Amino acid sequence: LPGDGTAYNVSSSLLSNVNVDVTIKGADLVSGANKIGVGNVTWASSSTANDAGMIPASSISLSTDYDIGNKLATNLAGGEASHFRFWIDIPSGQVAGNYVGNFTQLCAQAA
Amino acid sequence: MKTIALKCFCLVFFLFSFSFVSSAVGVGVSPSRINLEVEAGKVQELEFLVFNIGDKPIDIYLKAEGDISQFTIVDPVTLTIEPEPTPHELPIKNGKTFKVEFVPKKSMSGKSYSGTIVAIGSSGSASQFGGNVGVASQVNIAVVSPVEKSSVSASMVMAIVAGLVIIFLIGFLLIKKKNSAGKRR
Repeated sequence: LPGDGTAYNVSSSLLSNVNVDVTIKGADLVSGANKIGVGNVTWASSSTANDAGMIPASSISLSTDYDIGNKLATNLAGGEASHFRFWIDIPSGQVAGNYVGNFTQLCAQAA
Repeated sequence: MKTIALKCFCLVFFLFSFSFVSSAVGVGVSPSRINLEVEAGKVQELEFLVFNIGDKPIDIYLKAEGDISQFTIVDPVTLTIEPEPTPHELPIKNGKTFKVEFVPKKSMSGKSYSGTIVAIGSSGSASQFGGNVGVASQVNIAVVSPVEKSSVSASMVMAIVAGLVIIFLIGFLLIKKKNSAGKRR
């Protein structure tokens, strides 16, 4: 990302009248018959855009199921945002190509 | 018994901003949580209002996840939904309704099932990432047997009949007492 900040954020709309939790899952990145496992993609989030704690060393691997143990945001009220960053670790020897994958962020009413 | 968290909108507004490309994807659903009691072998239909608070029309699909997915039917599965006019305000103007049917088999009676009805919208080609964003409505369903339902109904009928009999007897005694008092005069 350019600069020190992160431009990616997820926020709860002011229309919402419940607090929400946000979880995340992903899928493998695929290029033809080649793939990069989704676990090579890691993320970190913070309520602060430029939080110094959002670094690879403290990041969490994406998985194919919603990671309810590591929520991207917890108890987010209407109007509040959570900022996040992604990293990808390309295994050595990975075949060059245009790899495509996706991630899904899901919000649900906080418990 | 049905409990709905009234007017509970669960929204997420997902903002991508990178270099010259900027796109917002947001999906909302109402209700955000529901508790139901469904009779085994019967159909319980519910409606979920899904709306788009992003800045472009998006295809949103609905699916059931968790324990409830084995007896849940969603119709339609996918709809294209226009964004809500800005500033966003209630009531929702461009949202669309998905019908969801819960059809637990008779063998499922006596158990509770939980899961989510998930509405997923894709950020599409406007985003740097192939990301999706979604909202989940939490659903808890207690499946009861027809016997339980009918026994409850039978006991209610019995209670009503007993009440009527008591009222009739009291009335009868009062009239009798009044008549005998009149004869004495």
